[in-house]
Amino acid sequence: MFLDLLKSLRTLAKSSYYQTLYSLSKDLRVKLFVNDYDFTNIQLTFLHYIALYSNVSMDIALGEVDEIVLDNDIYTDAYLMYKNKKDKKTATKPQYTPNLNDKTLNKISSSNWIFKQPVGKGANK
Amino acid sequence: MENIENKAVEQNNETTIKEVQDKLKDILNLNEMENLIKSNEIEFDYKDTKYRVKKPTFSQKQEAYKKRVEKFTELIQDPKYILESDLKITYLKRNVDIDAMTREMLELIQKRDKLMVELGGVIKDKGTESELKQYKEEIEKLNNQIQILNIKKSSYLEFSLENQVMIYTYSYMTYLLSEKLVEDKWVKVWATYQDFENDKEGIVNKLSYYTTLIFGVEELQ
Repeated sequence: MFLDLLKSLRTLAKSSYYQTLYSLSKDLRVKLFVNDYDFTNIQLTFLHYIALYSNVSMDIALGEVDEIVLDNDIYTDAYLMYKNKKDKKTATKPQYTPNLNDKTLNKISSSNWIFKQPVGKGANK
Repeated sequence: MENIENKAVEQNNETTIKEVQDKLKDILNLNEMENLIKSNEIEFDYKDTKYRVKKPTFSQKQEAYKKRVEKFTELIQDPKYILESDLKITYLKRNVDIDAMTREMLELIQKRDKLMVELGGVIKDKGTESELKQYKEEIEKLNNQIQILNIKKSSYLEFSLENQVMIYTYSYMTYLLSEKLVEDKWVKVWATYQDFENDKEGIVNKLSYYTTLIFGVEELQ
């Protein structure tokens, strides 16, 4: 029963009607639900899926992936898992390794207080 | 010959009817789903009466949490009830290893997730349809195995004290959140929890089902 419900919830979240409503809700404050806060369990799950499909649709529009990704739930989830894993790998890769022997670095150290940790490390949290 | 043709037409019609029925079912499911998500209260009719289940308020959550603690304290002192950890030991003596089931499930999940990531890469790299289908079938097979193990594990642990407390919490929430419309006024469906427990009507199941959709027991922590 719950699996059927989840399937319907994903179908609705994927529909162009709710996807349009979702993007309008960000720009024009069009309401998705009657309530603006105090969401129920099922509303929160729906919001999770609507954001997930919006993310995938954006990738399709940017040519990152083919539309086949929306053919079924397994393809969509698989693509997002792959993407998340890839993003995590990129985030953990050291972006910049300062040479501590380089004396010129000390000249720009006045702004160091903004980034208490290296970018890569912070993004990993 | 004519008989064979008639049979083929009949079968064709049956397939079409089944397809139409499935589509109708999907539409009905979607309509029901839209009704469930549009607001933080679910309204429905049952035997000419309007009912509703509303998202719990802070004080309702507090009340339910208090009841949950009371129930746990009551059951833990009752030797008739057994904790999940003790139940697992009892099962092990009967050669049912629940922890091994959990380990097997986790291994399957890891295997499935590895395949999912691989499939994601194949989708990104525009793999062939047969390649994608092969992955999908393998993943579906693993999902079924995970689901079967999960159901098996849940049914073994169904009678644990923790599970009884959870069932009680949802029941109490159903009692707390259910309302019906009487002369244009929303009133509680049951005056006391005792009345809720004694109610033989099918409405209890319907209201319990909606309560689980509206509220997660983890919200009480």
